[in-house]
Amino acid sequence: MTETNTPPNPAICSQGTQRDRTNLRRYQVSLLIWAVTLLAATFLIKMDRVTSEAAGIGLALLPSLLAFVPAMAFLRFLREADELQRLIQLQAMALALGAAFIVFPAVRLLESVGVAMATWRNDVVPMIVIITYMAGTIAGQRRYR
Amino acid sequence: MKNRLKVLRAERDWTQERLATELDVSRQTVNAIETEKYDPSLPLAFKIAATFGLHIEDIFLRGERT
Repeated sequence: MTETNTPPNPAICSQGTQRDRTNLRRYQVSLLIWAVTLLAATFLIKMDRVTSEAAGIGLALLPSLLAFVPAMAFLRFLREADELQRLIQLQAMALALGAAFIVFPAVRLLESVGVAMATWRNDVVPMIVIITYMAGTIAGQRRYR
Repeated sequence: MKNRLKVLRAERDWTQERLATELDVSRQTVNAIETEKYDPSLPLAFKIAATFGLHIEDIFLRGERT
């Protein structure tokens, strides 16, 4: 009997089915388009390149409108995912949510007792969520590989 | 939950990849079930049983993980 000895790859969903990989690729592409749009909109607004107020409002709302595409793509990925992949993603999201509940009040309370927070404090919670989600996914892939 | 998946697969000389294709799951899922790190859902357990032409209780056994 021949065993399959695929080298473990801890990347997100690297070991899912072909359908999972296709859905994930759709999600990643839409996420990339959203990120580029967000960066472009931020750049244009900050550089004062917007010609009218209506164009400014449209530009400011564009990334939020486009965010529905990766959100829907991720929902599709989860709905159609292999059941073990779904469990791994669920555990990673639970970890990320837990981390947000730990960090968010800590940042607020430290600020209120006078601890000087850096100007990037508003980015701390989303960064922690993203990092713990990725770490949780990698840990899940390793646990069940 | 203990299971006989690895034995049944070996009897048919199937790779994990082949069984995963039959079940429409990832090889990782088959491996996780075989190593008893993961218990499959009831629909997947039925699918596994149908694939081997057996009853669920012939494949999955009550008791603690080894």
